[in-house]
Amino acid sequence: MTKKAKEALANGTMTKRQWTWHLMKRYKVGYFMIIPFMLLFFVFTIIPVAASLLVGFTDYNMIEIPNWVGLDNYITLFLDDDLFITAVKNTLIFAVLTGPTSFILSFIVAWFINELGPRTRAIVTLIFYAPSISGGAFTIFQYIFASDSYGLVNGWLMKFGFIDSPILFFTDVNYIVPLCVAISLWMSLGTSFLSFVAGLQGIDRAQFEAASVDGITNRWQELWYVTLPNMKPQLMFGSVMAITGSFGYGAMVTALAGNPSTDYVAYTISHHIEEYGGARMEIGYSSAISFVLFLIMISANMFVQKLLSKVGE
Amino acid sequence: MRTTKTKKLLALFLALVMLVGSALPVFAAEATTGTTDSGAGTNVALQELSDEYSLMNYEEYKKNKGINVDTVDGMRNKGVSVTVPATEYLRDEEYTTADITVDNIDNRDCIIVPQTGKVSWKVQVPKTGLYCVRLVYRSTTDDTMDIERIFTIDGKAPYQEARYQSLHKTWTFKYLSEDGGRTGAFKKDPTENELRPEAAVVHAWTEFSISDVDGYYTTPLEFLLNEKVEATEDDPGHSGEVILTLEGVRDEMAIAEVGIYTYESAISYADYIKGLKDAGKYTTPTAAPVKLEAELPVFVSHYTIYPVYDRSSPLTSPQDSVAILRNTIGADKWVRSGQWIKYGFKCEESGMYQIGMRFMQDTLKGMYSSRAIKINGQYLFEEAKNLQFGYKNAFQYDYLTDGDQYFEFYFEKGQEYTIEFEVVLGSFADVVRQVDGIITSLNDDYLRIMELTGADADVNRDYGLARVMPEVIIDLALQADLLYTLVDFITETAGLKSETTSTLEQAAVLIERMSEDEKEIAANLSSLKSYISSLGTWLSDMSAQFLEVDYIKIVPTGTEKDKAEAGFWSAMWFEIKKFVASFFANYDAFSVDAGDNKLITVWTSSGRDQAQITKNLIDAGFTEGEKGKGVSVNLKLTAGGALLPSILAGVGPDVSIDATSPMEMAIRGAILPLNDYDTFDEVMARFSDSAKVPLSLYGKTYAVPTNQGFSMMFVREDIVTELGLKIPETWDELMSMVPVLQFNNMDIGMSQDFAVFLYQSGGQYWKNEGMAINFDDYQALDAFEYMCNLFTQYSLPTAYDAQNRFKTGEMPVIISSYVLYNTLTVFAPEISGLWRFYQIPGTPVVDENGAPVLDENGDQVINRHSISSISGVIIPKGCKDTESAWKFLDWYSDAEFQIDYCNEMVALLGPSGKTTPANREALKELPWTSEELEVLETCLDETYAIEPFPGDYFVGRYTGFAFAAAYNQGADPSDSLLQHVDAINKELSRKRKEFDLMLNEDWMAIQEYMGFESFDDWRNYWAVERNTTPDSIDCIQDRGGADKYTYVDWMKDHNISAENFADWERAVKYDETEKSYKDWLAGK
Repeated sequence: MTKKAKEALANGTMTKRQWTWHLMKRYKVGYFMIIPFMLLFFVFTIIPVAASLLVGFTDYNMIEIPNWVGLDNYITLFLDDDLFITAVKNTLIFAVLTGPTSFILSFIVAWFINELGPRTRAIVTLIFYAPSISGGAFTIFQYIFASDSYGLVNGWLMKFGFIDSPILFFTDVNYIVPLCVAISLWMSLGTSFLSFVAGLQGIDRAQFEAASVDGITNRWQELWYVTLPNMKPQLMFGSVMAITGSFGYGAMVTALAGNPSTDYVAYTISHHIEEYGGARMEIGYSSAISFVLFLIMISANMFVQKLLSKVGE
Repeated sequence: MRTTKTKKLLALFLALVMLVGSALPVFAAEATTGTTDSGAGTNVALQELSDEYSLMNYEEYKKNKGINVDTVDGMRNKGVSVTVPATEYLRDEEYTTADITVDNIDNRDCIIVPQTGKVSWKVQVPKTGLYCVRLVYRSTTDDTMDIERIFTIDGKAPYQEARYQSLHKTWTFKYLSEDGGRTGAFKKDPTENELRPEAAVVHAWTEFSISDVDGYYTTPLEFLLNEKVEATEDDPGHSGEVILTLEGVRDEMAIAEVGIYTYESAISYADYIKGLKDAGKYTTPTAAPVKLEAELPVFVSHYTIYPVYDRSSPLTSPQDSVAILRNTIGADKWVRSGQWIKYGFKCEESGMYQIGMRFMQDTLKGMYSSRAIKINGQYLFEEAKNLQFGYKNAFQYDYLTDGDQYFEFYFEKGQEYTIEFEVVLGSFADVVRQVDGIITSLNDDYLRIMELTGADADVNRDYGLARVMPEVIIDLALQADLLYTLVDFITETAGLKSETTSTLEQAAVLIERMSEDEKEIAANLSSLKSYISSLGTWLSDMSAQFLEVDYIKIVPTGTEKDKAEAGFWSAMWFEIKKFVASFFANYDAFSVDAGDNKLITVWTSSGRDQAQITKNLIDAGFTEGEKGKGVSVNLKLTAGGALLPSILAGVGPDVSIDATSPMEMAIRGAILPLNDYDTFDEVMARFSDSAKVPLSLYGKTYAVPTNQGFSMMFVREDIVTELGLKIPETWDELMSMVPVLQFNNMDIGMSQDFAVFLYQSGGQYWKNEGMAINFDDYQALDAFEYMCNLFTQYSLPTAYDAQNRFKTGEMPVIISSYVLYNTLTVFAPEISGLWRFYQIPGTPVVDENGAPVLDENGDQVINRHSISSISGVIIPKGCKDTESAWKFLDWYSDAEFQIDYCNEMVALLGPSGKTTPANREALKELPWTSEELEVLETCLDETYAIEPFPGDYFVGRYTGFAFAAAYNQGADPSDSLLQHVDAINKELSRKRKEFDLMLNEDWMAIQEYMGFESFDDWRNYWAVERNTTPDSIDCIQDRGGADKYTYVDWMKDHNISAENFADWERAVKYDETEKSYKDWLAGK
């Protein structure tokens, strides 16, 4: 039947659409099986994204009927919203500091761990992965860096005489950003790290032997010519995770330094969305911000994909 | 070579471990030594305070007067008593200050004594000896609280325990069954679940002896009184008269007689039986048992001891697998010493009976719960004062026993008997009291040590404690010894399991170690504090005598015991029935079948316990009561964030009990204004003036206040008096304490809220009704600077754990919300009585010229107002039955509900459940002492509230930034606050634009153009011009009237705008024009 259909397609008696329909019927079991996911994906991802694009052109405030305001929101956003510019600046700083770092860190740690024996590897993997599975683990830093003179760090610093009154780590503009970056790196060995560990496991050992026969002399070459090209899918996945993670940075800062942090030093785009959507109920405006963030993420992703395609060349 | 390397590494590692290990327990700053500064001034109040603390306790009194086991009988004059009719009270103003009325109630001449003032009697002592003091009293009001009095002899409390007296009232429940039987006794809800019965006070003459309110002494308190002795050369002599005085603390009462009598213990059980045998009454009847359902008491001492339910055992009578039946009484509501329950019965045949009881005691592990039994108001024998109910994780059935023997009672045929069970501490009273004493001593010791070492003592330092304060170390040894004795007593004499004593034992071991080696003291100081704390917890656990009773059975002696628990199969069958029933029965107790009633839906986001209590009270008090007759309430438990979206979606409730930030909703038109209801003013009169402020916006009130919180000053009086400081009245006085406290390693706890300084000095938060912030005003800047200086110059801690530091004494003064009171009563029982709360310090009031304002006595007037926070109940837009909803608001915010609710919460959660009602009437009725209440009422009267305006959330944010800059970067406070004024104003304008409110820029243009002094000028002008009343307009644009002519239109018509105003200002600034704005505009 398929053969016949193929011929029909080839000689033009069947349109492309008919061909697709034909294939869909043929693989109906597969389509049937992805229905649940597609449904959820559509309802909770596609529709909201599309809706936020539309709502971004209105002045919707949850109560009154929205008015179409065209590009007003975007104009205000870029030309008359100092806070947004601050937020973009901070987001970029966080993204540049944490995104690539966490990506590279994940890979290097995974690479090292890969050298260990199976049992130790399992334990070490758990140790590194643990902070990110226990979602609110970062709140421990609230206690470690508590402003109380009984806070862990303050207590020690005072005991050894470095300071004589407690430092307010999460309200002092000098400490907020470095602390948040450090903590987010600690948290960042997450799913991508796990996928790297799995990817490294999946590489065929024979390829390393073949490579050494072909004249590879050191581990770096091995890494570049064998390991990395083999891991492209995982690297791709990891980069997407790192980018969304670093641009969507916010919840952790809110939990530690509050929203907004002192003088907006750690105020990111997702805080801006929260502020307008949550506190001020200006849904239209916050949708516009979300969409801008969405675009930033997409372009960052495309950029990274370009970079990754160079791997192993 | 390799070995040395390993060794080196090992050594390094060990060194590190030791370094870290030695430093681990201590996190905070190194302490500096200091000695007590006792040179500071004292005042009268302080003197009173120390007098009160120095009052000896009963033990010391007894020792002092030579009363002990051997002498006590000789000091009692058997049978001697004197009674004085209450009407013969001393008329002299020195002794009696209360406004007394003489009356005759129930054929007894008596006096009615109001809540406040003293009343005294003179009693002639016939013979020197020990006497108890009695009175016959009667409650006269329906207040839910006990009557409280302060008792003194000759103007002074002889010892601590005698000072404070609490007199119970008698309560009864209204049962619905005609014959008073179990069937139909309780009202049922539509799903057949039985509801709690209504309680009522029964005013009856009651006999009372001055006794220990904590129940640490099971017998009435005795006083050594002297007969008349003529003065001789070496004896000053005695008049033989004593003045007995009762000073009002809470509630009015009637008193018929007072007197002194000699205490006589009851006969022993053996004598009781012997007496009966001698009289030939010791016979065994054959009558059928009399069964009393415990859930139907005749009288109870507190209305919170109401019938509860047990659904765990199929044998509990009555029991049902589907409906909830009220089948037991007591449980956690009948645990405090002195609380009693009374039943009545008759026997069909004379003879000896035993009293059986089916009960549950699953709380005091390894211990027993104690009760005393009175028949017809009398202890028949001494052992009846100490009935024991052992521990078991299930129901038990047993005859009354003191642990050694089962008791038999003689009952006469046909006679009405009352049987009363009273909570007592029994044989444990002694232990509990001694632990109480030990805690007090240890607390003192701890504080003494801490004054020298600070809370974080340096382990490696030699403080020379044995030299500086040997008495403390001796006392520690003494207390350790005492604890060991108690442990022995509990395990050996009382024969109890060791789990009860482990807390005492651990504490004893530690304290002993500290007393033996003074080096151990510094190392274990923090452990000592936590052990004192766990002793406190132990004490409060042991004082709660849990007992849940199913039924009481009076059976002829020798009857076989009832089965206490169901067998495995019947229990299983019961569980299966319950399980199956759960699919069909509606256990969601909050919903209701309205029937013919109107139905309103009420949302709450509180906890399930709170909702359950609210629901019970609604059913009994609202739907059945006067205010809400015929309105059923469907109470729903929802998440807090669900309210606004649901209102907007049109599926909101009719009333929301605890809505957060009502103003955010009001400004968006999501909730309804309440001003137009007839009874609005009447309802709002229940609250202090400030309570309305945060719930109102532009003249309309959108919520009825429920809870009101404000700051108070919590003071560890033991520490403050020890340091010779006085309770501060102004902030400057408070700050003058800082050096003394910091010298002794202590601090003051303050918050970073500067609004209180601003308001106290008469400053304003807002400009022009919320159009702009007033922080560029000198008063605001001064207030902010004052607040910043507390942390930068006085270096008070910015972050701290209030209850912990207060408990340890590191922070003897804390300014905090009065909810801290609840936390402290539960969290720190060991310091109870050592602290008190006061109104917060204030700012001296000055007039316009800066001269101090004096009151009529010539004293400086001090403004001690605090800033209050208020929550309220609201009616959302889309409410289907606003009349019923308003009725609900009226009822909910009324004193009756608020009192019941709080008392229920306290009964359920203990003292930590105490609520903070905004209703002033309700606050009075809550379990506060009159002293606390007086402070609280003053505080409630003297509160400010910050008006809510659109965009106000921005203010806190930027003042936070300004504080951070001042504290972290050392910036000038005023500068850093001023920097943010523009940002705040910009946001305010932005928000106002969104809601079509007049903008500050526009207002400034209008003001200049029209030459107005204040915003009210504009109101009046607008009212005249637009032919409306000033009240009906605010700055909201679209309320310009039917023609929708708004101020913006008006500005256009007059060619005024914020832009050309700015131009004019610039022109004036650069000397381009000298014309007024109006002329300048006209010229253009």
